[in-house]
Amino acid sequence: MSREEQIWITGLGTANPLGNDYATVAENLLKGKSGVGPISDLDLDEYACKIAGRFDPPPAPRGWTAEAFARLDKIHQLILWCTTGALVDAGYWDERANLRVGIVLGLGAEWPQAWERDGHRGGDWVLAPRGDEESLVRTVQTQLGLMGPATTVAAACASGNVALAQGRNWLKRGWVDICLAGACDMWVTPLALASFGRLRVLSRRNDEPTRASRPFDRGRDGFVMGEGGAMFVLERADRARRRSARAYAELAGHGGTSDAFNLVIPNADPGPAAKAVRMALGNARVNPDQIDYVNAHGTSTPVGDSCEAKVLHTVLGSSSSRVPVSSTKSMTGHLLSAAAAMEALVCMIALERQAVPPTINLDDPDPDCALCHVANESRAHPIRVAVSNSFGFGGNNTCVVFRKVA
Amino acid sequence: MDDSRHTDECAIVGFGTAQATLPEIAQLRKDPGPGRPSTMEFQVLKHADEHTVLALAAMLNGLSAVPGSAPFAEWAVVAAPRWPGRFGTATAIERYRADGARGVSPLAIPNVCLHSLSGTVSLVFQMRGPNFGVGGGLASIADGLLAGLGLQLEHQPPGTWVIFSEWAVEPGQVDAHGEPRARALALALGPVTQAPSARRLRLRPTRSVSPKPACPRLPGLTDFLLNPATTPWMCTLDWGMELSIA
Repeated sequence: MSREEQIWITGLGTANPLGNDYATVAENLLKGKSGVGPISDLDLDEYACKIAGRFDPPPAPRGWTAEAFARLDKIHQLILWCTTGALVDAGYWDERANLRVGIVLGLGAEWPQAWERDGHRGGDWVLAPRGDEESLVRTVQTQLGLMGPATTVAAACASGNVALAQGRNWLKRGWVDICLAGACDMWVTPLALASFGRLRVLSRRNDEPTRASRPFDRGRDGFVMGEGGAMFVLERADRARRRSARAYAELAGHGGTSDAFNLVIPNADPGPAAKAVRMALGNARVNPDQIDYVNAHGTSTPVGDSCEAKVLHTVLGSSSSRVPVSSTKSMTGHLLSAAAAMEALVCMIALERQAVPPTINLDDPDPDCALCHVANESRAHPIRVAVSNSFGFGGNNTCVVFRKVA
Repeated sequence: MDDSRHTDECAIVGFGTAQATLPEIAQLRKDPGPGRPSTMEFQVLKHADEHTVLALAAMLNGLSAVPGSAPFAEWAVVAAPRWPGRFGTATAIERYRADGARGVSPLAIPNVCLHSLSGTVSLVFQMRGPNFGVGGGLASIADGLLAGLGLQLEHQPPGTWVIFSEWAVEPGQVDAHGEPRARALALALGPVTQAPSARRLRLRPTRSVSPKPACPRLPGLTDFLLNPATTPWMCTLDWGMELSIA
């Protein structure tokens, strides 16, 4: 791809269990700090899992009074915080009305979450809809005064990668001037905790919240739910270069496949997921031996982590013994449909700080997950190419490649 | 603004439709119709969303309409249901109120999401290209067409199924009358070179700008496809572009 056709990431906004701004998240990430804690606002006596990674409520973003912002649902606040932050960070806030600005929001279950919130307040919206309900992404588009395509995408835990891929597609086709893409999710709710709990995919290590998410460790017993989001400003490199914009990374490639195996169980055959990773590498024109860091999907489930290790061995071959791998869900928990966006942010931090964030709680690596782990402490490392895997329910396999902008 | 807009297009190489009432969807859940893949387990539809069940029926009708049918193994699946997961969520809320956490099905979450439909279609028909959900609200038709077009042109799978499903009037909708009926459409997109004489899905610049987001309904699109008119199906978007099928 020519330099002019490259897609760069030039702005970001986030709120997640490690912080609500880039610098704080970077610091906590590289310190190996856990953002997981007890869930204190729900009655969880009969639940097996009582812990989650959550974020501190963000202040009102630009354009909002504290009072008006406080009246919005929390997921609405999160999306506004992240999108506004990304536009401000990229230097597009004042110019936004003069551009075609696309929005691709990864969010897997907007409506079930809204109906559940209403139900817990005693409402019956789920049974008696109005038939004119507008999606959050459209509402936010209007509130931000943007003109361009705006859509929600969902691919379970891979939603953020699909959003980045779709934003990149829109830019490459010339449909938008710039594009906000990423994902936000807040599903630490009674129904989600109950359903995931009954699927037996959640950790029960409630007595040690910060040690509960332990990807690739022999003692892992399930994932820890998390909440948060990250939105990014994507633009063509020629445009960014003309305005001397700072670039966090080049969004160099993406790939996606489906297992067609089971809605909730990962495929023991690494083939389809490995194909997604290879597609992303091919799309980015990167060879496996050029990868400097892999941010693994690594949810801390017994089955999922060992499947992913097989995928990485299949793709990396002999390089698997030297390419650093970590799962930062060990610190953030699993942000579900926002997980891939969170981990895209992690890759950008790794590229900027030239350091690999650790998999914390990796005290006893599972031999079935033998990889070049960066356990418990971050490691300084030259990183030019970072790869982020995200897999999800529905047999979704996705991979995104980020490259350092010279 | 950049002046980089041009016409993008792909071919519509086939489609299938289905429509049903709630009781009819309950029947489809037990038997989605002829042409069901031999590998399909009925269990897969037991907890599936109503949109997913109806979409499978539309897919079964559409598969045979694609010239030279199969293999679809590398095709992508994009699903754009309108307000998916409502009945499953209602059931989960009801059971939670009655029995607490233990009343909630472990398969509730995997079946009420925006991506549940595309994941199920990918599984049932063994399609291993990318699959994802898009839209989910009022603008699902435009969202689905844009996503399918962009995916087909940039990702270049052999083909992309774009699947829509919506109720004409939502069951239980405030102030609604009559028996609710849902429609689903499975649209097969492919490269223009593969089907030069097929109808085209186009996105092109236009001088007319819709003052509000375009929210076309599914009956208009399916009726156009079933009864081709001389005038194209058009959808003017609110950002200076226009979708059309002709």
